[in-house]
Amino acid sequence: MSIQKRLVGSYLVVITLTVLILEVFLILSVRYYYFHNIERVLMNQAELSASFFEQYFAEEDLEQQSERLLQGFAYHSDAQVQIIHPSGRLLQDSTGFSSRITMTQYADVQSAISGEPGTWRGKDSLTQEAVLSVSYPLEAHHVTVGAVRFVTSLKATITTVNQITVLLIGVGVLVIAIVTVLGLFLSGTITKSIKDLKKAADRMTDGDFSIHVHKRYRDELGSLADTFNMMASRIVKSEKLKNDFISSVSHELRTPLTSIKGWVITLKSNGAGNKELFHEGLEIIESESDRLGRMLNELLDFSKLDSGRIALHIAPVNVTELLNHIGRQLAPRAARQGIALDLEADGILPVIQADENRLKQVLINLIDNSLKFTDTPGRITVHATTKQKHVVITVTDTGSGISEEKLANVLQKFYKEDPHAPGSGLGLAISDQIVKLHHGELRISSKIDIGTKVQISLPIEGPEF
Amino acid sequence: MPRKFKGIHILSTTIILLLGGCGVPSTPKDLIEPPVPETSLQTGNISQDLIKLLPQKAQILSPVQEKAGNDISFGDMDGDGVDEAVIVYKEKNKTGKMLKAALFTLHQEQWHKISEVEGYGYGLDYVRMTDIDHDGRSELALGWSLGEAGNGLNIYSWRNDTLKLLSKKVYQEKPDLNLK
Repeated sequence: MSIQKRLVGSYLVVITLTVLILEVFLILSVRYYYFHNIERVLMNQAELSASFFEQYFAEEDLEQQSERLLQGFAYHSDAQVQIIHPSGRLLQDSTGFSSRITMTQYADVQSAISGEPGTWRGKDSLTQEAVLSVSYPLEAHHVTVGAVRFVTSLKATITTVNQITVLLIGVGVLVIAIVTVLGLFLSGTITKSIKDLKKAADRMTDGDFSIHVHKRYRDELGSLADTFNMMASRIVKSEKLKNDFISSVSHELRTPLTSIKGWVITLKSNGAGNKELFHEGLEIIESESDRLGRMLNELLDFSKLDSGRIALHIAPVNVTELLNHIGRQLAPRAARQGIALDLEADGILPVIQADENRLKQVLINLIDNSLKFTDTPGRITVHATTKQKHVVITVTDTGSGISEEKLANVLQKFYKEDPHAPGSGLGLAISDQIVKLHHGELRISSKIDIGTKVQISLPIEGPEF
Repeated sequence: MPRKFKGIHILSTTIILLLGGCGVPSTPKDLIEPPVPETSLQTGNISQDLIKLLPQKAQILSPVQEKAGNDISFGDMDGDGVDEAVIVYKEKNKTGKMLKAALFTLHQEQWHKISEVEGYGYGLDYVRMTDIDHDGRSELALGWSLGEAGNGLNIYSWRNDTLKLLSKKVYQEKPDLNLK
């Protein structure tokens, strides 16, 4: 079942139920109001007549003054008024049927003759109409000497009540109809947006990411449309990054391979006699193979990190020793490039729980990046300090810096500032992943032509806590 | 009424009673009453002073026989030389309307209600305060009407700080003010 049908359906159920409850209540109330009030009016009249009789007419015989009494009792009433003898015999009737019939078959008359007021609803035996009658005992000196009976036809009342009932039901049906039409319209505003989104998703399934979902309203579905559009553009962008990566990696892999192949050809043709050339060739082939191997390791690392298959070997790591080790390892390269590499530590650094090799990889990668983008004469400072159960290591350089819009992308995989620059574009992405695996944080801030600052903070207790 | 409707009947009655607070809502007929200007209640005339002493929803009746519209009758019932006043009014209660006659006396320039009697029939036909038994004090004669059937005349006198019914009789056209 479609959403529209379900929405309209539920609107309909709710409103029908509401209208139904209201209708039943109103109709019952109207019925009760009419019938109860008619009964009350008749009862009041009967009571008033009976009390007047008791006060002033009790001395005379009921039958003899019945004609005059009837006029008085019927004075203010449109109802049929009857005066009944205690034996049940009809003495007077305002409609003129003075055929001397007995009235004891009516419950109200029986009740009145025995001294209690009574009401009765039923079918009149003479006119076959629904009638309501009220009988009240006429008392003289606390003895029931007869009864006065007010009878009204309920034909007009029933007609009126039915008219109101029909009117109420009509209004109810109208309300339901209006709500249904409104429901169709309102649900349309929801389902149209959903249909748009579904169409867009279908096209994305077919591989078309150039879609743009039209945003109809500024609601949840509207923001979903925005998300869809953003998702599509991100997919297009990452597709492009991947393609760039493949071409740059191919290029990167080809450079050492070309060099290796060139040297192999050279050595094959004239390397046999020249021992010096042979040696030099082999050395270059070795270093180029190492470069290839490093690049492949990086790629493997990344795919492992990306799929979460990497496992950290957590052990106590002495940060000071680690930094000194890295300093020793990279000092020759820094000296060669004419860049000063300073290692600083605030006080005694604690021993932290971490994977030493991975941490080394991160730091080497960060310093390597700084070396790559810093010109002579420059300075790279590695500073370590303890802060709130964390060790914070900051690598600051005086390099070329990264512009603000590019800064957001540097942690993305495959991203390279210059697509033709050497490297896989994975270094920072891998570093970020490793720091995150340690439950730490990697932050980069940079200013063009002033330098870049990379800060990693690692929990002393390690990732388990 | 069939038994299955009895439950609904009781239920609807209960709901109506609950909604109505205490009883069935008034019928349109019950709600018709003359407007009472609130500002006029401050004026010092006797009728306004007396009306203030009546129950809130009381409706003052004029006798049918005196078309002049004398709502208040005066007469000295206790023989102290100061006139008492009688107002006949209609009061709504739970079962319908009650006719009542209220007797007021002037004590230290303030009107006080000193007694009240119930009335009968559809309305007031006649009211008069006059000395009927020639004892120097006025008696109160009230004629209640039951339309064509006739009227009932009650004559009261003021005895021992209460209204005492002296006689009760039927009359047709004009009330007979003799006690026998």
